[in-house]
Amino acid sequence: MLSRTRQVATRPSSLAPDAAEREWAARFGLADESAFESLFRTYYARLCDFVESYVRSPDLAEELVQAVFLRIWEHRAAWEPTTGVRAYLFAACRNHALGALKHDRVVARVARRATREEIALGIAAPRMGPDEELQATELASVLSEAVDRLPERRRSVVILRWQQQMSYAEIARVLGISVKTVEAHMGRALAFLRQQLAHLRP
Amino acid sequence: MDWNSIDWERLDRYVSGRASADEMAALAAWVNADPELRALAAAMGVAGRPSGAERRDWDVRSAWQRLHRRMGSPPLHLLSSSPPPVRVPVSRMLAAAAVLILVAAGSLLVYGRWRTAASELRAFATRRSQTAVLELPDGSRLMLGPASRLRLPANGGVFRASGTRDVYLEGEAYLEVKHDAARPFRVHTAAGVVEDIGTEFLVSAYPDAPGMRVVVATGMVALYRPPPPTAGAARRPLVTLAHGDVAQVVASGVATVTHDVDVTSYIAWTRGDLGFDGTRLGDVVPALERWYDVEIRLTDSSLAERRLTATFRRESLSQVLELLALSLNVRVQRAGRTVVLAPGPQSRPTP
Repeated sequence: MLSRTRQVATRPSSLAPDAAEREWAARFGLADESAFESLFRTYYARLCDFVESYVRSPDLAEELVQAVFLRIWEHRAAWEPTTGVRAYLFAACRNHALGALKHDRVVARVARRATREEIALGIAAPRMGPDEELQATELASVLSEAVDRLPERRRSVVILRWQQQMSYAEIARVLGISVKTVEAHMGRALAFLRQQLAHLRP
Repeated sequence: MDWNSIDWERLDRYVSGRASADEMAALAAWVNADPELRALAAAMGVAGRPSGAERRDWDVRSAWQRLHRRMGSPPLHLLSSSPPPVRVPVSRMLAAAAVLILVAAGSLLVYGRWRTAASELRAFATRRSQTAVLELPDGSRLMLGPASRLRLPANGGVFRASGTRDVYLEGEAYLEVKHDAARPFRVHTAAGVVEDIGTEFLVSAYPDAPGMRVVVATGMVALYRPPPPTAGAARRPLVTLAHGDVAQVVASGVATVTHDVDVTSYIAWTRGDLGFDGTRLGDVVPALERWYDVEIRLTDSSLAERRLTATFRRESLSQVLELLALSLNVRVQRAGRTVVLAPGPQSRPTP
């Protein structure tokens, strides 16, 4: 299994970083600041979204994403994202986020969970008739709450796929797992969401 | 519609966009035909993100500006008490500091009192033409200007745990403080104490320029006089400064505050630039000396009153001197690291 993962991560044909990514990587070697800036502008908000799903704090999310970019800039001469630029960025941000969570397992996360659960309960209450249409925003929070309850990797598979439109191969590179495992995570996540939303409306 | 019969795999293909163009068109038609499916697809696209008021729109532009200020910092130079200064890569330096903190935290229980004994302080210093970035254990970041010296408690646990955060500065530093109302961050200089109230600010207190200058880039700071030997608990700040304020504190303790200043030229050096905005040549000279590691002498004291407005971006010393000669009408003589500035060929028309 392990050797398989490595193969996925290094075989060039499976990487296919697009032309823009390759250009970025090439220009970084020359310390081109505008290339770095365009990379930053392209991915900053998306990475903040992603990191926020881990740390539950917009301030901390921004700080961690900035730290990732600063690190890349400071080590730009040696920077070679063999997994593709985007996969590298998301993987680095995930590592930072996990590190931050490990560093201080913040109570805020728990508190935040609690409020989300209250919201979900409010929606599940009987004020909703069987034929009543769920409001999109309410649906979003129920779904978000369900996604939140997924284990960390499974949640990230879902988020990277639905929000970043990543292929299974790219998600595998971000999370450092095999494509088969990503597919299995996705299948289980869908099963869980199906069950959660079915539960919402008997 | 029955929620049990939702085809999640199809929805997944649609939301993730992982389908051929033809299939995507068919999927879009399928989703759009049903308002509930449409709502569900929209929800999937934002799943895992906070909704409503909790949701933040990321300000990419100002985020870039923040990052940009932190880029291009030269490697850290650590001055230990032993004479030959050693260059250490930042990462290794920080690892060493972390070890030191661990060792020290067990034995020392001295919290940030003013007169911490010299042995309990760790010193960082820059030479001329050198700046350095320090990442403090509390997450604050500090950029030390040229020919500056910063001391902070060797017992880094003070920074990590409770208690105030005190650093002692001689020279110039730009600080991005991780604000914590419970643990004030204070910069002590010979001329006073600057305390952050959630901010990025610059403190300049070189021994050759008596007094201290404080420039606030964002947020607020409070300014205190230097503490008397037996400092009482509650002291009122001399003045509180906000974003865009520049305070000049002279040795006698009088502070002059200018509001709504464009602080760019003051903090230019943190980006590797050197900026002057109507600055007296007398004040430009020490900055140039520190930046380019030269000695500059004025033959005529009246020259010190001429004023310079310029921003230097990695210009060489000779380019800078050329510009000085032209814009201030001075004659430049240079011999190695010594520069002499004399009044120009034809004296300026007196205003």
